[in-house]
Amino acid sequence: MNNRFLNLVKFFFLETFKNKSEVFYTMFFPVIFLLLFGFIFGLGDTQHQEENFEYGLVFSSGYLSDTNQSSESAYDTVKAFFDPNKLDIYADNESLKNAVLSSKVDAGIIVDETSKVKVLYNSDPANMQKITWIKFAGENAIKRFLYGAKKDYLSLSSENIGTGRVESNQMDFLLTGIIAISILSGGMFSVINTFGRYKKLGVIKKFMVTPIKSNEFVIASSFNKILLNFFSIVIIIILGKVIYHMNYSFDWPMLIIVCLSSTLGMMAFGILLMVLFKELEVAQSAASILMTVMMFFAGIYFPINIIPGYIRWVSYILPIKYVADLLRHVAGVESMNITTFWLINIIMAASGIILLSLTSRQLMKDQARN
Amino acid sequence: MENIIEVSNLRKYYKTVKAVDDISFSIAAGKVFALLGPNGAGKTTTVEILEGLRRADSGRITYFGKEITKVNFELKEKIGVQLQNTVFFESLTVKETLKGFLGLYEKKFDIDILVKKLELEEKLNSKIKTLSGGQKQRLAIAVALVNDPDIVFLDEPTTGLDPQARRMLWDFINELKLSGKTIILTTHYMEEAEYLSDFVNIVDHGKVIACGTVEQLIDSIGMKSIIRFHSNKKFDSYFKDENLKIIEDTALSSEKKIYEIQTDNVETTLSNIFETTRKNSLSISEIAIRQPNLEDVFLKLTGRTLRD
Repeated sequence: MNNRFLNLVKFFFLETFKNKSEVFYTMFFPVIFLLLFGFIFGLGDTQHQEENFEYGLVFSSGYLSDTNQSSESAYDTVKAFFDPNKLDIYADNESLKNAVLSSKVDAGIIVDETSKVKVLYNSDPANMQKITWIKFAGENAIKRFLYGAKKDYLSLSSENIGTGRVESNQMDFLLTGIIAISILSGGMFSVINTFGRYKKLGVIKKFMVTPIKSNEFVIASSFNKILLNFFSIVIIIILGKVIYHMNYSFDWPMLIIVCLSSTLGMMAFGILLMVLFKELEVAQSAASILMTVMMFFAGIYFPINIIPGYIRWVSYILPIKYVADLLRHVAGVESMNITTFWLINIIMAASGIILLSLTSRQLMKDQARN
Repeated sequence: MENIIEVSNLRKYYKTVKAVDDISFSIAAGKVFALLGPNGAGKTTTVEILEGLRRADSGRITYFGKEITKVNFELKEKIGVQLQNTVFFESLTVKETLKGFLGLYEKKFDIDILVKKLELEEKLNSKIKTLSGGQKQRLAIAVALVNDPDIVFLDEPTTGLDPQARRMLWDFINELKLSGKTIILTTHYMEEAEYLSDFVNIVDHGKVIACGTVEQLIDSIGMKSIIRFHSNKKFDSYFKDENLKIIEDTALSSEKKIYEIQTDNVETTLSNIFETTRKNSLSISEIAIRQPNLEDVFLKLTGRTLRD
């Protein structure tokens, strides 16, 4: 790396970090989102207290023989304890697990021969907001049944059989969505706004008469946006831990890789919009529309499986969906096949680098002419 | 004297507009070369081609005796460019801006000297957004000089400045010239071109309509003196045979106009004016006699003033 390029990076570093409005919008705008949505979803939890849930239950054969109860009478008795919630009986642990994973039931309860109770649940984003209440109601019902049967339970445990590494909740899901939005805005919008501002100022022309290459200019100015983005993400994560006591456990080296590849991908997206729509205002409007579409369809604030099936395909063509998926993987909120993980990262980074280098020269020329 | 830049048959067309139309000139080392012309004449397009910001449709450019097809990095190290309306990052200080651009070049000029010469010392730690128009323009020139260039492009360096600030910049440009730098100046101020230039190209509608030293250009129109006066009534009908120019003055009533008469014989023309005034009961005022300038050259060649 030559001195000129490093000096250019330093120059843009100063420009970026001394520009208070840019720092505010890139670093603190996502924080406002976090606080706002945290407040809304925090209140939302209480609304689920009145909901009825559906449970699956398996009594081990050992348990039934020990109580001298027929399975029918035992099931009839226990159903009464779950009322008004619904209780389905399953023949074995495996079929119950499948029912939980496929969301046929909200949670599964296994009572083994030693009266050990295990509550199975799935931290799938679709039900994690109400998972606390599901567990609470299910555990209470089975406890009351066991007390009634004078069968004191030995232990009660719960197990997340969902795909994520850690027990997650709505806020974990939301936080990773906010980070994805932060990357999107930091990448796409900052490229559009920064280059738009530079164009308006006439700064690009001034740099073009100095001995720097067009891609050096774009990379140096973008590097600081990536840095700013990363700071923003760290702040969101810290606030998430401090204010909302979130359960995520980020794999930090992987997070850095995801941030880098995703920001590059989103920057390329922004530059592409700028090249397609030559006018800054048009590019900004297009980016705003796209951002709105992405927030609704890309599983940022709610899971895409609640989107009607006939329109769900839209989610799969939006790059931000994959950014959110990557982030949820490195946060342990959702699991992802490792090959898919690297493939998405490589596609993001490669498309970013290719598009940036292809378009930067054209963009510089276009803007110098203005 | 060695030519540092040579331009032959340069063309740049935008659809139907001939921005630069077959322009040729050469610039001697260590001299101030001016492109003088009204707004939209093609001055900026010409220099932006030389600066590497635009590509010519056709033509030949040589720098330091070598023909070039594009302005490469090696050449960019040797030129300094002050663009028309240069704006810098508003939140940075003067010092940060100068250091920032200095870091982009291999050859570096002493910033302290530049700052002192351009009287920016007190503003060194001020943010760009707090600078006045004149200070910003001086900073633009300082930035153009951070690499101690051999060739300096100054595109309308004093536009929008008050007379004092303009005079200060003129003195600085003269100092630059004395230090041996080649300066390419574009301007629509004839006083600026007259004061600073060794050689002037007058440009109009993308073409060079006249070139030479200021003296050569003025001599070429064969004019000795110009008599200027105000009249309360129409005066043109009395001087049909003279080279009479009427200048509309919005400050005066529609009947009152400023007249300029170009003459080789000041005494005879003045006598005629007074005679006509007396015979026709006209009233004239603010009579002045001046020498022809580049404005007159432009008027003679195009029938328009530089400000039209």
